[in-house]
Amino acid sequence: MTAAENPYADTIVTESDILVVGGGISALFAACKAKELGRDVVLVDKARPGRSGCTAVASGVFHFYKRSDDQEAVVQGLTSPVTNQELFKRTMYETEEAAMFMDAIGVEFIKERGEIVRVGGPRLSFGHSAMMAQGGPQMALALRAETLRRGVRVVEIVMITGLLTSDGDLPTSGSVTGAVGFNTRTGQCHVFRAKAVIIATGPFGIPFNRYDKSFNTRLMPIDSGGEGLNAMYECGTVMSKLEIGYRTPGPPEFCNAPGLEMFTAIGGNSVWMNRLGERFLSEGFRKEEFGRSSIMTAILRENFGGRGPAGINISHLSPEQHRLFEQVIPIIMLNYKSAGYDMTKDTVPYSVGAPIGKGVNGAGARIDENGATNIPGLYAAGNCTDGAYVCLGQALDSCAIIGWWAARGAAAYAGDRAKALPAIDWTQVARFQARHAAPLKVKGGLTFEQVRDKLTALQISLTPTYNDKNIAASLANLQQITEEDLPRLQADSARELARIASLKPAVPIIELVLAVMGHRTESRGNLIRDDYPYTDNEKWLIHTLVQRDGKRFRLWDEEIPPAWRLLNPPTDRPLHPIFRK
Amino acid sequence: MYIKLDIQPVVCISCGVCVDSCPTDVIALSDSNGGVFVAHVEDCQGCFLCVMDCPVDAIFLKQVRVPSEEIGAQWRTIDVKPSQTVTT
Repeated sequence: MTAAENPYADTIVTESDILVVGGGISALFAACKAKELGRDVVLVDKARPGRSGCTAVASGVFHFYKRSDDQEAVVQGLTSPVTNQELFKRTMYETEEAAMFMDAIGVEFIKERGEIVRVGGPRLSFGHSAMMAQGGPQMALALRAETLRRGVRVVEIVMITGLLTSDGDLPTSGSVTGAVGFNTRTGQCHVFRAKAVIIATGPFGIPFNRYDKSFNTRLMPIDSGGEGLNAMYECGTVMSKLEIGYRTPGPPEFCNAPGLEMFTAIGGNSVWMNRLGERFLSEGFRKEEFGRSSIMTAILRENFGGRGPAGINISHLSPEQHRLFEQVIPIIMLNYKSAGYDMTKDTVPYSVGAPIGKGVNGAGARIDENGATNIPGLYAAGNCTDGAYVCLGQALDSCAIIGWWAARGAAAYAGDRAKALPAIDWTQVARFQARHAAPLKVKGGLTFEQVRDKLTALQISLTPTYNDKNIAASLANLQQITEEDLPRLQADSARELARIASLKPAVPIIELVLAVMGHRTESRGNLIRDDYPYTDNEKWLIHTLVQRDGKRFRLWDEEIPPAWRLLNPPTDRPLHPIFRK
Repeated sequence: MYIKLDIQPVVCISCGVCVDSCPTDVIALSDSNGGVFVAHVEDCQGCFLCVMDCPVDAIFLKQVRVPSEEIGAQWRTIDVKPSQTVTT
């Protein structure tokens, strides 16, 4: 590229057929598959692929289904009336292909007689959870190594701050043509020019939580403020499933995956205890009903009944079983150990994280089974998407196979090498660069910590249940933060810019989530409203969608396509379990 | 709860693996002597990736519980048996 074509001599331009953004399992699966399909692939990540986002700190549990499994039972157990049961049934066996792929590239699974062992997990009566012998950290490094081995060009510690569009507009009426970002250590600007872009940046949260306070908000992802989500929203991507996710039970204060599948699979149902030492969830609940949502509900019920906080006790398990926990969920076990807990004796705290952020339930860009969004050239995978609505939450298995879907879709769109790369709109690049560098020019403004703490306080104010009053108050608070605080954020280094560029996108995403939750006058799953305590299957077996419209957004409901449903949907209006006596 | 992150200088071989492992840029290499040091403990999220990746076990991460937050203390006195009362 000549100087005339690149007016910013200090900007690095990288060109590829496909740009993948992210460093977790979705991004790495997508990059590997796109390369396998013969495309030139660049992967960019704000940290280092295999060590950023959720995947590296995830529990080493991977659900997969074999053709010999009871398919009807799986559909019955893992889908819901609002999910795409037909697509789930048609694609569930891809999870076995994904497990075999990981086994082949060196992910260490626990095996017996050469076969990957599957233990019982939530919501099914038979084993479907494979265990990794060294947990998420080893899995993530194996995926990283395979990505490099295949010749994917990896650009590390570069954070994407916006998507380039063919018409230079946000939202766009055209297509996505690349992305703009900067090196989080040096501030060096980067432009990525690509025929197709796959966003796989994971869920959002309030990033860089306080290390010295108990806010019960330090769950994974540990470094994502939702910049990928916001970049997609900005350019006009339809956002979906925001009402479902964004709350998960987990060990308070710890950033890692909650380890639920392991605790319930190995420990059975009798691991939960309230403050009074009474077991709960041990009888009356069948093991196969143990979804994250039902566990969260049970924990909150203990709190509501004055019996909280809840905890897990695995002291009755054998030394061999304890060693298995240390293998498969090493980070969670290290967390407890480093905090002075002895899992062979102690009951350890386990609670429900504060809402709005820090969930591992997928929500975000609405995608189809090719990972395609409504914007030409823009594909997405993993927990920054609605996962094509195949199931409610997205664990490693669905994130992996949806990475493959997006790679197939993007590879087909990008076409062969002969297809020309789209042109770069340098005016748009300049606008992005000015925006992310703006905090460098602010004097006497606000620090990252001041605004982050405001958002955290807002998050806490929504605990434990939502209602019109606290949603309206939070939305007003967010508007004030958007108008008065975000423009006053100041930075004096690339590092501070990176922290601010992680924080800012969380604000519009929280606003969207609250708007959707406020719109749905019912309680369902993690949406728990004390002013509308019923799960309203008469009115709310529909999807709520949002899309940017000018400077605001439009919000609407859509019927669930009849072709999605394999099971008869309920028509009743039960009280949400949390409010039952 | 707060995080205490220590790198033992006698054990550390300054290989820099932990610098690459840290997703939140907490650990840095010194410009002056090439050594590794904790530069931004305030951004440590306690993910343990540096601890797990260190080839010589030089990194120690402790999550220090503040007494007022001892929510689990009451459990210590309870004799735990799998068949105890069911409330839910």
